[in-house]
Amino acid sequence: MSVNVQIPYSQVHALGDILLAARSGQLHTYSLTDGKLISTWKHPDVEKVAEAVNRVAEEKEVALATGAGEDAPMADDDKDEPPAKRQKMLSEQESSVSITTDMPPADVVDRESSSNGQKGKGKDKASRSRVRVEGRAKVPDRPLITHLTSTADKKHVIAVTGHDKAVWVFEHDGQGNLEELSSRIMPKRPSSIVVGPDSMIICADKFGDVYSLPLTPDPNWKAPVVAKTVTETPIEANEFTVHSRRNRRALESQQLQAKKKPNNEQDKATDAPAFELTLLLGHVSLLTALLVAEREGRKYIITADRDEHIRISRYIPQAHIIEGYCLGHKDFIGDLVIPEQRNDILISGGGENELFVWDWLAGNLASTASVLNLAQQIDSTITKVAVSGLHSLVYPSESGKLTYVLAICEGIKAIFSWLLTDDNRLNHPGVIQLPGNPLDLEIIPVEGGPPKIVAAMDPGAATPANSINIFTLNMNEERLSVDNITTVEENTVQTSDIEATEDVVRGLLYNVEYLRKKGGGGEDGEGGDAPATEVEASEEAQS
Amino acid sequence: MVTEGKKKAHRAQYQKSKAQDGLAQLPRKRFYRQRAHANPFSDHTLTYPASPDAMDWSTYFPDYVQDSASDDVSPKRLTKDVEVVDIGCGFGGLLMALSPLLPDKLMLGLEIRSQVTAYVQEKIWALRTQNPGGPYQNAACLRANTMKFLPNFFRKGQLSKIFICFPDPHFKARKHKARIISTTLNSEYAYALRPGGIVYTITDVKSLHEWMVEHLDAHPSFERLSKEEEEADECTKVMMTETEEGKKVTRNQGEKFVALFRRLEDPPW
Ligand SMILES: C[S@@+](CC[C@H](N)C(=O)[O-])C[C@H]1O[C@@H](n2cnc3c(N)ncnc32)[C@H](O)[C@@H]1O
Repeated sequence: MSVNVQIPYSQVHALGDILLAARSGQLHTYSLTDGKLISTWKHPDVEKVAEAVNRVAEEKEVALATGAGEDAPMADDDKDEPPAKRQKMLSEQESSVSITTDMPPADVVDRESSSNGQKGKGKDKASRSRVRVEGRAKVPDRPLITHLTSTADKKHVIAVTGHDKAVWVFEHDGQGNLEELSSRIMPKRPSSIVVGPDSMIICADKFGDVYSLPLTPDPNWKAPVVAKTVTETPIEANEFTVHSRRNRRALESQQLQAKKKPNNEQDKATDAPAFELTLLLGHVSLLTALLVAEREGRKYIITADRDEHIRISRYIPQAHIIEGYCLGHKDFIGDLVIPEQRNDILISGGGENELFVWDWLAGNLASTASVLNLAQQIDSTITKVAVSGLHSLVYPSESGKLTYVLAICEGIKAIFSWLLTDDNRLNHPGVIQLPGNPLDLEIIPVEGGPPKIVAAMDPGAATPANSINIFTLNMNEERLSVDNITTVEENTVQTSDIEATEDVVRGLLYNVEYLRKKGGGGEDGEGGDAPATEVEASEEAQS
Repeated sequence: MVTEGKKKAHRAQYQKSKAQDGLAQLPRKRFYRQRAHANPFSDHTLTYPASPDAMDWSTYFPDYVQDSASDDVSPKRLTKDVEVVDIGCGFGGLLMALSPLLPDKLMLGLEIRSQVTAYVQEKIWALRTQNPGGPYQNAACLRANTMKFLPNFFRKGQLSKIFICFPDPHFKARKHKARIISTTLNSEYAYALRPGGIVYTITDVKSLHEWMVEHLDAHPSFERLSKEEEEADECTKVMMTETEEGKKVTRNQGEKFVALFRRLEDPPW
């Protein structure tokens, strides 16, 4: 049946000669000079998972021996829903008894609306998942490091673990040794994180909000005592202040809720973090990418969402001011990059066949370049792409320093590259074929020579390839190609907690195509096929 | 109870009668009713322009289409831009009242519920037909989720007035992000409004009023108008008396809470 594979590395980040590489809940540092492992950090949940995995394996043996059903509830084997969702549902189910269904946060909505064949009321679904979760909650959610970055001075490393929404800060001694300094649980699952020029951590989440948090949490910080805000009032109105029937119903449901104390407690728990956290801006959509950019001495925050928006806001402390948008995408945005040497240009890509090249401050589209055409060079049957990562590098050549843009797409075994021309076009497309699906890239500058590319890949069960590959580059007629491939000694760390079925690996690491809207959800209220996320029909229109 | 099937049949019938000559009938509300809430976070099958430049306004404001030379321009341009917006316009009472009051401004109702939108569109069509050469050419309605797609329709500083009348209260704390007024959404309203432009809010739910005031007050781009300025604004009264919800509250002798906010200039930086 399901073969166990090693969960591949999915995040890579370089600090000079040190490579940080994350797989599942483990963070390793390697020397880029000799490829040797330097240190390992494990998320505290790693041990829990390892124990549970072993236990389940034992139980399964027993089950097999006693002839129990073949598809016995394998704790972590989830066919169509990544753990992200299951975990969410656990917290979501709490307050589902009311007139209106609890509105799931954006990321859950997305999963639901895109997981096919799941029609029906959100409420039903929540309770359905609950049963399923409880029926198989033997293995805790797998820890997964979803983001890695560092401060400009390379002295601090920031990691995000998705399963518990935590932001971790480490001190780096310059030699590959990390000391864990802090961990903070964000209100919603982070989807992108950067460190601002002032060492401020800026974090975008799947609910659409962007927060800033100081690199080092102030131990003396106290949650401000909230004077009576509207949020704190348990009942926000009474029968005498509500007049329309729809509002009255909503109010009744709220009063019902208030009687069931625990639910309300939970409401608040998610709203009040125990550390300094500033809401900078928000979209009503899942955020997929976040950049801090500078132009003409001014700093900006650039955010992109699943609903095709790229927003340009001023940087802190005026992040509430929107300067403009880059609009034109017709499918989700997967990633953004401002290329090296060209801070006037923004490249975006996602569910569409093309990359878009923007004069981002003016909000003007300068050009586009087809990704699909390149993907079809690898596999002519490919009909759509989901761009999961965009990067750039500078290649020193006789004609000066050339800027290249790189793209990877979910499930396509290649790195695509283009030369960014002075007139803002992407020319000289190149394809670097890979032995596995790329999950993340990192560019390593090399003194006086072309940079190297580190690729974290999923080799898949069939190939014995390494998960980390380091490419030395070449250039032929301005097209990038690979000269030489090396790797790190990654097999020095083999532990059972990084083993999982291929399905689990897919669920953990392949989430970009999910962002695509399925369409055909039906118009609300137009008979039979109401979208799953519509709210309770019993609240029919008012008189 | 009017069933879905019946509603559909009536709407089709209405469409058909439109095609024939004779006096334009106003559409009847009961055939356009729809469940009260739509989830602003879900993927509806919405159509929206990729950007304001891609929006074809010509079918919404046919009297304002630029003629001559522009035949090859796609989409067709209008002689002026939409400048007044009613967010969550419901059955459109405010639009019908504002149209004659602000005859030289183009106004648009935005509504997430498709049947309710259709009702307003039919009504505008009927009123235009009944009053040739009269008002209502400057009013239109389209289906949109304003919480997601406002910047797809309007450029920076395009609007002079935004109305938010009797918005859904979303009482529960965990649903506050579903509210149409929030610190983060206020930035989008500020973006679409020109400096000096006004956000009009009204509700019968006191705590929602306090919430809206608190969040608009807290946003550096907005400043509340004084009571006197509020009363001096001719739109305030219309908003209190002409919205469907406003009428209901009056019938029930309920209280209405009004707050107007001015969009300030962005500070230099
Ligand atoms: C209580 S009604 C008020 C209608 C009207 N403004 C009035 O005062 O009579 C609120 C309206 O807002 C609409 N609405 C809610 N969320 C919306 C959204 N995100 N975009 C557009 N309309 C929305 C609802 O469908 C509903 O018709």
